[in-house]
Amino acid sequence: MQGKTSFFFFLFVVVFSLLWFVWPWSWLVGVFIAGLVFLWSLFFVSCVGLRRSFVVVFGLVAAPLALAPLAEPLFLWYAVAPFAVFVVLVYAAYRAYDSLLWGFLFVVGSLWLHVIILAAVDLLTGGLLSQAFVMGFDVYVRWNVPLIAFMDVSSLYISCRVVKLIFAYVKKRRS
Amino acid sequence: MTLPKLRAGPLAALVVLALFVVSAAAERVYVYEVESDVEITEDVPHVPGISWRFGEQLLVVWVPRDVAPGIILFTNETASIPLYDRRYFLLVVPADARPNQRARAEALLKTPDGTHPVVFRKPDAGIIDITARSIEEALTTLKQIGLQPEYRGKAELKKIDTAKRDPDAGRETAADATPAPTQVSMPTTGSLLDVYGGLYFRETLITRTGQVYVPVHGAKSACIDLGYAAYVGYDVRGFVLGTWIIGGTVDADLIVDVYRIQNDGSCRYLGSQTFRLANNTRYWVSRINPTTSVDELAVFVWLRVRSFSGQPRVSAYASVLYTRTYRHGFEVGEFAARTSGEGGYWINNYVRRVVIGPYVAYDGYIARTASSSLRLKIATEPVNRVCKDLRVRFTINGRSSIVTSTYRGIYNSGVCSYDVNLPRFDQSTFQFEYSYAKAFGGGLAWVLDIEYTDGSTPYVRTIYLENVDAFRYWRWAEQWRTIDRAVDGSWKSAFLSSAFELYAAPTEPSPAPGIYHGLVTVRANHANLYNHRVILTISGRYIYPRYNYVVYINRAEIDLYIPLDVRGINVMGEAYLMPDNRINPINPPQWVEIVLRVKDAVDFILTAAGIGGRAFGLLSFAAGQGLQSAGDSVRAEVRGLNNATITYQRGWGTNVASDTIIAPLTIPSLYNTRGPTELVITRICLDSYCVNPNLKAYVQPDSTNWTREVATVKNWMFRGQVDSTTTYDIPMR
Repeated sequence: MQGKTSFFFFLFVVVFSLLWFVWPWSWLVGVFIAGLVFLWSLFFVSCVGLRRSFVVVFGLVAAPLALAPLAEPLFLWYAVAPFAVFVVLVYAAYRAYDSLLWGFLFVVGSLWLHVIILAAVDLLTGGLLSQAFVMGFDVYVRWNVPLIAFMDVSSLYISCRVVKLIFAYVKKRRS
Repeated sequence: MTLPKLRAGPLAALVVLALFVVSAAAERVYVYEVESDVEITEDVPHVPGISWRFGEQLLVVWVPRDVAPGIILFTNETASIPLYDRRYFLLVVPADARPNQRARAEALLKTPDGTHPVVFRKPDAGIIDITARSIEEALTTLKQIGLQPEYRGKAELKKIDTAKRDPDAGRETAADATPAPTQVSMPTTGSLLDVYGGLYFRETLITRTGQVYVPVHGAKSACIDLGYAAYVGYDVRGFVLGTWIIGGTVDADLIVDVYRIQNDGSCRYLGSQTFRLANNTRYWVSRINPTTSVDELAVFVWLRVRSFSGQPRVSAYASVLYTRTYRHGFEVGEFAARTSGEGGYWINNYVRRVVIGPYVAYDGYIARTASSSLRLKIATEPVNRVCKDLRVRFTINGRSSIVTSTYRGIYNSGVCSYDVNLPRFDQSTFQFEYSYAKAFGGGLAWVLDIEYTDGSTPYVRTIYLENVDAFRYWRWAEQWRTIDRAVDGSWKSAFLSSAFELYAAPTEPSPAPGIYHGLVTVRANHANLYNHRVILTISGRYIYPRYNYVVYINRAEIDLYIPLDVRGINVMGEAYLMPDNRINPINPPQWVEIVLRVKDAVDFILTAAGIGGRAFGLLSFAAGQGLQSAGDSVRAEVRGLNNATITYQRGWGTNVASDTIIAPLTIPSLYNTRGPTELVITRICLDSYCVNPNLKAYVQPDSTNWTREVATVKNWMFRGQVDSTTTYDIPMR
């Protein structure tokens, strides 16, 4: 069941990121970023167990990103939002594993593993990924965002599964 | 500020009365439709021995040879477009003309009423030409200036011998016709240049009879003791005033008072010239000539209105031909106008005229330095599966014909395609049209007359414009004349810019395309400045004519080549130029600046957690880069020793309603240079349109033998870019 939800959100992130090709360059970019953060968070959390309340929480976390151009102090949230997402993810993992330490290790482990996978891909493609990251949000060069989204969620899909298996193995050995 | 002394003594009143009596008795004139083998310039036909209101002069009235359906490419509008011809015009001859048949004639005018000898010279009575949209309109205009015209049919104007009538107008010679694709090389230092400038007057609503002033544009007069006077300056070879009237009719005299600007800034009256005001008419002001302009001149234009109907508004502009010496290697710049970056237009219509333009007729054009490499692909519907030969006549502004050429079509998947390229370019034709355009404040456009060689009209499917220069020329942007011994101090703060104008269309033809219009200018700032030595402006906007919708520039990239070390290049004090000419500094949104600092701290934690920060990750990318691109940015990047790229990107989170960015550049190696420096713009990308313009601009040296010659310097250039009141005050020696 979890796998299906996860895959569903995986597709959701990828398809949503493709919208970047036609997304207008205006304050609506904030909405796009908020959407990306929202869907990515749900995708990650679906790996450990999605609850309806998380949809609301991540919605609240992402909303200020969309609203920032309308009320400038909200730009502060761009610095804090990733941290807030991280905290919620740790909480979600804590719920799944009934231990704060395990929850923390799960999130950090998955993320680090996915960073390593991405770094390997970057190395193999001759720096294509780092080029895409450095390019940032450009008015006219749009391929990098969907590429990053696809690579990120697919590597995270793998790393999350791997970490889950490792945790299950460790738990089994312990018991 | 006092108004001019209009010498209105009793004698003047008598003269006015006499003029009134003369004009009241409308003079009978014959109007001939003339085919000429002489192209008319500012030298107009005179018949020796005749004497009428206009002396020995005949009046030239341009009327279209024909009017045909055409397409204005850049707005995608279809319109009836007239085509004039400088060998076809109406000539107005007094009905009782008694020419001196024994006088030496340069040409003969053969009319149904007899043959008249004709000589060409600058107009005795000042009217160079009148332009009308039809013969009927021409007759109406003539009635408005107090003549009683009678159309008498066709006539012929033929040159008597092959000797050139005017060395300046030797446009039949092969030497004058440069091959089209050539980019004319920069003038050599020490050469004498013919330079065109423009004067601009405010539109004047006529609400009463009597004296009505036509004030100069801008708030400041050229004379401290005389309001509304326009600055002309030194060393003028020719002064052509253009007038037009809309919204009604006026019966008035047009008076040009010429003044000498004295050392204290006050003006001394030199004399006046009086003309009969007419619609769409050019006047030759002979009082402003090389002899009088040894002194610094100013003009004051006013009207003596006898009567009017409706709510007429009178407009006046002037085209001024200056003589300048190019001495120091940095008093010139370049202007280039591009057709597009491979733009396509969907026409699907019977079309006889294609209008490409108009482009700005930038002040400061240096005569005989223009070029064009116009090239386009026209695809037409085959006629019975056959591609007929296409004859294309290249004209500027639909008046002066540059060349006519025939193209063979290639049948390819249901259409005939023609590769139309301008085979040659003609300097004096361009010069004529430039001067004409300046006299009416107009621009320059290519008007192509296209037809099959059998005379039928083609059904045009698409037109593709190639990425080439529509017009390119060297320009002079001096406020002052230079002197032999040294560089005039006014050049320290010269307002010289090279400019690049671009029109572009969508790459694929579309039925309702938007048009992109861009402008990039480079100019040198004051000498001896370390920061802000070069000022770059970047403008661009998409216009969707059908939807009345405009999108401002979002991104630009400009590559600069400097034969000096570019390390340390920096953009400082970047700003938006607002529509009301206010300058709006570009700063990241206030909070973005603060957030970037907060983010630094948070990122440290996040990087450790693996969620990104500085490591890979979509979340940190979205938030971090999203924040980075939220604000407007203008930055300079070094690309090798001599190359730099200036990049502008509009922030998605800001919303400044401006299409123009000012980017002051600091280039450390430009400081303390001892000679002029040539900057080359090698590449310009405005939004998604990229071109390689090879546009050159020159920066004056920092340390050279500056002298202080003059009291004040005024800009006669760049009225649109700077307030025309801009005055640089330089102390006298």
